[in-house]
Amino acid sequence: MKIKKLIIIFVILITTGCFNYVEINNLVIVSGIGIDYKDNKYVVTFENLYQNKESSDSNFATGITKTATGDTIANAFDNITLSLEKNPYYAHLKVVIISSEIANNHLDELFDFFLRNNDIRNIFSLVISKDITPQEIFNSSSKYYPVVSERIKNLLENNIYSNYISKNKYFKNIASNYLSGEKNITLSSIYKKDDELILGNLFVFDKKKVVGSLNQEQALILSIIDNNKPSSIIKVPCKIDSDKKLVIRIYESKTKFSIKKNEYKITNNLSAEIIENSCNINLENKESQKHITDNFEKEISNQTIDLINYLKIINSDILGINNKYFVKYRSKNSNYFKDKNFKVDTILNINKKGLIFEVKNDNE
Amino acid sequence: MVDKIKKIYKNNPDLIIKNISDDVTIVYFESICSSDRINEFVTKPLIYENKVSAPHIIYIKENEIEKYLNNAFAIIISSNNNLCAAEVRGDLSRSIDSPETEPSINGPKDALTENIQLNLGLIKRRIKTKDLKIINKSIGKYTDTLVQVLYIKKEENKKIVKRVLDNLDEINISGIIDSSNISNALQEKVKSDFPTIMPSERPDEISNALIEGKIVILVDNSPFALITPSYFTDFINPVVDRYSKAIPSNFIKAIRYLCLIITLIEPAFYIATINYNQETIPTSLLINFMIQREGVPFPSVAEAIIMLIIYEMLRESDIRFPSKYGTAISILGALILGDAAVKAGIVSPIMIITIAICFISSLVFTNQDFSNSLRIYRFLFLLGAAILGLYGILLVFLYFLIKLCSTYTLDRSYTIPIAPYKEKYFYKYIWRKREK
Repeated sequence: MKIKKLIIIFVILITTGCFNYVEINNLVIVSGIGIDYKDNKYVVTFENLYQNKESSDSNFATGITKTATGDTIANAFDNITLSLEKNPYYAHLKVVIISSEIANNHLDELFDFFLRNNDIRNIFSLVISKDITPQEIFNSSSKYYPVVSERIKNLLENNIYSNYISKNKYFKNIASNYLSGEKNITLSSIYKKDDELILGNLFVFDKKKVVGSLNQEQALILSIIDNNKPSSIIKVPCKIDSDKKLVIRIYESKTKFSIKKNEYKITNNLSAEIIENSCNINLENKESQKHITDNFEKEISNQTIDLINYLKIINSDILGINNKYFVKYRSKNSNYFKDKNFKVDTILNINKKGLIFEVKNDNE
Repeated sequence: MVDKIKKIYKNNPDLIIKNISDDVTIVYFESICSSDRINEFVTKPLIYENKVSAPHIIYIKENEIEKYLNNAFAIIISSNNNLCAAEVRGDLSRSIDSPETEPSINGPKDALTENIQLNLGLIKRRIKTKDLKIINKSIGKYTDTLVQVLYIKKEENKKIVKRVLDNLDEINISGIIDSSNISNALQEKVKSDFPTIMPSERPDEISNALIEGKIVILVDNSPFALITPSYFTDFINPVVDRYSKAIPSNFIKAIRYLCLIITLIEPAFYIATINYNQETIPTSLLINFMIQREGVPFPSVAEAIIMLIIYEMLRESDIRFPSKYGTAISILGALILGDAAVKAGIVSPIMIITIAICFISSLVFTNQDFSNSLRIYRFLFLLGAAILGLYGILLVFLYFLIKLCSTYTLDRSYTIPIAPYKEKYFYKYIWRKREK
């Protein structure tokens, strides 16, 4: 019996892998990592969180950067620890910023390194730095924004429902799409203008590298087709005064893809509400309503066609059409998205017209 | 005869021997008898009427003198050595007070005293049935203490009554000073970390237990009655819950279960998360922890154990020390532990908060034995967390469950009414249904 007990205790202590006691004061939290490639070497920058001793409230943290180079990413990580007095702790990693060079030529190495590393949890955001190095971004902390990675994370999170260029997907989802080839990936970008960090266009990849970028309006249509944005704003100019706009917000979108051998069809089934009526349209008039709906359906369909055409030109299947074809017909056709014709059908239901119906002049 | 008694009790200065006349002598212990009653029931009637008129008079034999003398009887010895005992018990008990260890806002305010007859009276005032059975027993070689076993005759408790009586018969100790002596003797057989007999000083709680078919043991000179069988949930949910409405009472019950979890696991959980599973703490909170622990020379485990032991000391001293000095202890504890220790960098503020929350939660449980059991498991959880992190907590939790489920109180599972499920008891104690 004693032997049994001893064996159980031994097994518990040895085989569980939980023998990793570490005091929090011996850790330094790595909140952001920047990776660049320069002169045949990887340049890795850590943003580490420390107590902000300059602040009146000493409970605030501040980001302090450390940079090192290496032949490989792992080598650069090792070199950075030479200047760290504590063990780096990656479980609270918020954001990884990569340069355009990494995005174009070293994405395989990046995914390989992060997926193999057990210390890093794959739930951080991946962002591309535009016209600036990741190191420079991390060095742009200020008194009001002492932690850059926290700021970027907040930028991505807060813009996800208002600016569609923000793709706050976790690394693990991006890696899954990248490695499986189910969809081509998109990454948000960030640039610096007048000491301000700003979200840039949405970068679009083919299988391995960046092939283009989507502006806000294109990203908005993408979000509708992707069914992942419940709050998309679409505007059409007024008939008489084109400076003024009629604006709707799409609060629900259900997009269906019907895949056939020779063509595919995208059907947008949308519910929307009117949020701005500068055109003075009488919303009680059923004919006006139908007219507005037709206009918007046409506008959304046109924008969708433009987006698909653009994606065809750059050969980026970010909607995963090729994979949908494979799932349906069980035969691989990597040119299906690019080669086949497509149709777009939009069914719009404007069912929330707001409380203001009375207008001065019925212009439409 | 008088000389004989004198010889036996030569070192008992409270033994009074009074010669009433040439023929009659009375002997009694001054310390336990009432002089008023002796005058009224024995001396005066003997002088004026040559008879005794006490409420309880009995002729005794020579070998019974010791028993009656010690039980507050006056022994009347006639010239021809005839012996007679008259009860002249002095009123040594205090008046009925309000319960100190189980206070409540609602409900009755009376509590048991050291007088067993008074205690029985308090119970009988509540339960007026011929089915209330009382069995007297005398236990203790030197104390010969009166022990009363109370139960309401029911088919379901027949077996356990027999079991309790058998167990009481088996007790062979030199003295019963308090009901806890009986409790300990009965629980020696149950190898459990948890108490299986609940002491109570509330007559309402005792009466309620009797109605439920439980057995109550009253012990002379003890203000605590013993209720058996008592289940785990009984130590968490007092009977006073029944005096409030169902919904607020259920809320309080939920808070109590939360307190149970907090008092057991909270320090261990803190240690596990900051030493092993830092990823589970939000970043800003982790930074706060780091900042607060900056400069503390001890590992957090040692810090936790030191603080737990200091708080245990503080609590023990608070119980033992006269209440007049209580304020001094509070100031000392609050100042030294709360402020100076942090400023001196011996402990971190977050550790003080952690341990304080743990202790506040433990104060919900008034039963001393139950608190002691929780304390042992609190340290076990801490040890598990210190060695294996959250996994360690899980292991100790499994051990805790195994121990809990393998405990039996009078052949009934300790985890009633959850396992096995007893609907009636469940809705009475764990989650009350709204009265329709």
